[in-house]
Amino acid sequence: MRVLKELHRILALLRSEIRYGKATLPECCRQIGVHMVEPYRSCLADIFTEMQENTGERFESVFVKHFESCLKEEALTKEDKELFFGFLTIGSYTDGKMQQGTMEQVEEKLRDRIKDSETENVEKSRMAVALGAMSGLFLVIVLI
Amino acid sequence: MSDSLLMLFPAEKRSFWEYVAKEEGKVQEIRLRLGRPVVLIRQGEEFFLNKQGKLTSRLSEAYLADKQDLEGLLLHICNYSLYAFEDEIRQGFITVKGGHRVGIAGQVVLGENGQVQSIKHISYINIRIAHEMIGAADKVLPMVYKGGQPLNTLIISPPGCGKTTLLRDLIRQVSDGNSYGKGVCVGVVDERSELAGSYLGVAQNDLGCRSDVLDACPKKLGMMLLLRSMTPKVIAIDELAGEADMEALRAAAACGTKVIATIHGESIQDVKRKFNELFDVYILLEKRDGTCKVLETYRRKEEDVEAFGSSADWSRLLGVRTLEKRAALCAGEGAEGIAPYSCAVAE
Repeated sequence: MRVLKELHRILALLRSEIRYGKATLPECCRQIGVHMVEPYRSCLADIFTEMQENTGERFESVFVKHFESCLKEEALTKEDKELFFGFLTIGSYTDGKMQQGTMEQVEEKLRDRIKDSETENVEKSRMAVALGAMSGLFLVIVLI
Repeated sequence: MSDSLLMLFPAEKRSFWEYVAKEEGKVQEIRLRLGRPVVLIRQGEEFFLNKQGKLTSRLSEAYLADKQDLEGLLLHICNYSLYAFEDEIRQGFITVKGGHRVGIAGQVVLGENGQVQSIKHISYINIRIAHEMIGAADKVLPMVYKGGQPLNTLIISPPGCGKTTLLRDLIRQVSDGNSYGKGVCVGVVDERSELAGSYLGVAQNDLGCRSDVLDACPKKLGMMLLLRSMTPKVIAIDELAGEADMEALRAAAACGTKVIATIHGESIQDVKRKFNELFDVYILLEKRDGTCKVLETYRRKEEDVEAFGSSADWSRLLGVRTLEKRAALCAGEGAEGIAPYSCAVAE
């Protein structure tokens, strides 16, 4: 959940950078990186640096490569990651508004995912509480 | 800047362009047309590229550019962010790192006001390799100065005759200072990013140590902005056009700021009528046998416009020597580090 929220924040900041500064995606990474906490800060800075080095790699592959290694330790499902990387597969639009619009869609999907996870978590914790109470009751009965 | 040409291409295409990149100093243009042979202009001569990326003059051996070549190149030069180059695409060209200019053509999308909104299905790409020519303005400097102060100067020529190259070096020399005058602050309004060749706000070409560049800014707006914010002694602008530019020029002149500018034109007389009061010096360029050179110059003296040198005089003073230097340059001799106009001038 915490990671998903951070990823959502990254997307929102990327979109703002595009809207405000019309910056390229690598530039956006550098700009928003300074506002992020570790490990995202270094990850975004590394993406910018690699793109600056101009190895000829596509932005999509550089971005995915660095974020895959950054999120390696996190408990994210494959679907969550795919959702986050979704804005890269859309491609690049000549129109800035279109680009922002499509990124907003990915952002919304991520927001829905966070909501679902929150609901799931509440249900899970309720179930855990209920199970705990039941097992406690069972223990009491057994002991009596 | 040595491999700036290779850097234009995505990783998967770099091996193909390796040979051309090695020849960067001699290459002037690369033209990619969808489904058509890749054409390369090298030292004024046209070649095709074969499948190995080597030069060939046989059409049958030529490599045909495909959709991937064009799309990959465009995406790569736009840093995978086409939206960030929306205005440039609308104008039909993008300036890239190294100061090279990438022209694009395809299907134009018109907006409601009848203006170009965008270009889609981009099927034609023309890469014009920038060759900064240090010393190109050496021969015109005596005309541009009077009493140690630069004069209002207008460079006139048809397209492709080296206006921008001459202006760029003039800016550098006026800014750094030279034997005719001390260095002064030069404000450069680089609407098409051709003078400074700015990439991410950093000038790729040497415009001197006292130059402030306003990149990708409309000329009128840029001139006013610079006048207010940077108090330049000289304002430099490329390709004057329209009444709005004239207004801004008059405003700059009223502030006592000198102007060095270029304009498309065929003769001094045509242009002089329009700008009679504004400019002190007119320089007309031409391109002959692939060499750009000064054809005619005029310098205003008080109320009159005085012929500073006839066409014949200048051909003697500049043209012949230029041709000699060009020959030396093409032979790889360098010509005393001064290359006024050679065959490889990108306008």
